[in-house]
Amino acid sequence: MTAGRLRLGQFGERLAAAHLESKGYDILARNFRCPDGELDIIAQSDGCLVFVEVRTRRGDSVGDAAESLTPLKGAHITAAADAYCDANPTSPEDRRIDVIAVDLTPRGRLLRLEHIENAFSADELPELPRR
Amino acid sequence: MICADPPEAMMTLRPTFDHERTLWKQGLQLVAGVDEVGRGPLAGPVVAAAVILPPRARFGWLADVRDSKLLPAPKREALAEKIRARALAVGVGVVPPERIDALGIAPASRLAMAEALAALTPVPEYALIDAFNLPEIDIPHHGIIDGDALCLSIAAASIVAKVHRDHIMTIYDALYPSYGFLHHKGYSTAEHLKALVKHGPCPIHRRSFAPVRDCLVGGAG
Repeated sequence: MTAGRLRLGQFGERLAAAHLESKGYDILARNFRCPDGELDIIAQSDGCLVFVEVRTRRGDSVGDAAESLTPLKGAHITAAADAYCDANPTSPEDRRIDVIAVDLTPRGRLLRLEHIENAFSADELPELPRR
Repeated sequence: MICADPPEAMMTLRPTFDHERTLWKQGLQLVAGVDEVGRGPLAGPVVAAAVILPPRARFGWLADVRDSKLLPAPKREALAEKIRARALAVGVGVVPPERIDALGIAPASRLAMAEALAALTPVPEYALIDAFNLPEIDIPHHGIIDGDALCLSIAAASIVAKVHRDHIMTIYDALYPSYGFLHHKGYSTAEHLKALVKHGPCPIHRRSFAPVRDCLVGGAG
């Protein structure tokens, strides 16, 4: 990943975090990493722990970031969410995984931000290979 | 008195399907309404929306659809969701501040409208556009003065565009919290002008607009 793409992704995550804050979410952590996967944003709202995957796309028009996530990516997010809960045992029981799609112009201006709540249901996801 | 009292009639005027009906009667099915918001503000994008409503739609909530400026924000957001759910297609075009500075606000507004139309699937057979004619698009269309007050499809587009732009400005408020974007959405209010003088322009200010340009040149001198 080039520095440019990394910066773009980070800017998308900043905008996603700003969106969540404007909706009254508390941001608990950013960029949580574990061997099974990574979580972009971990937030809390109304007693529910929310794991957020941010998809940032750069283009000239609205709608580019609405690309679907693969079930495998979903499995990695779920595994990372489990790891976060293991590491933070006082976290709320209620959990969900959201996706925020951010469309930016080539210069990094916001075209659209779409927040999809409950983007995955856990029973549809594949098992990850055992390490 | 012989004539009805026009001012009162104007107050209760609601947008109708009159323009659409003329086109539907000619056999056209896909008629888009197009409107734009955010020409005036000193910051943020200009946003346009295009909406194709089902021909002869009779949704009850259509009675509440009117020029977005006349609706309170929660009502507008609820209507935007209904429009998105029931419209045959919705397209949005966003032109950011740099492009507004480069093109000028009128061409930038037309570009946003052209982008909103281009984002529609299916492609509309005809477009009704608030105020403008758009020489740059291939779709047959005409402009309607006061379209957002008169024509339901344009009023629906005005609601979608306003809600989309307000959402963008809410996020920018969290990113650039010194200016009060949450309250004025970039429009020129006393609060905004005061913050602009105090902090100078931020990356989403329109540098071609006089109050912003004046801050760049020499401050309050």
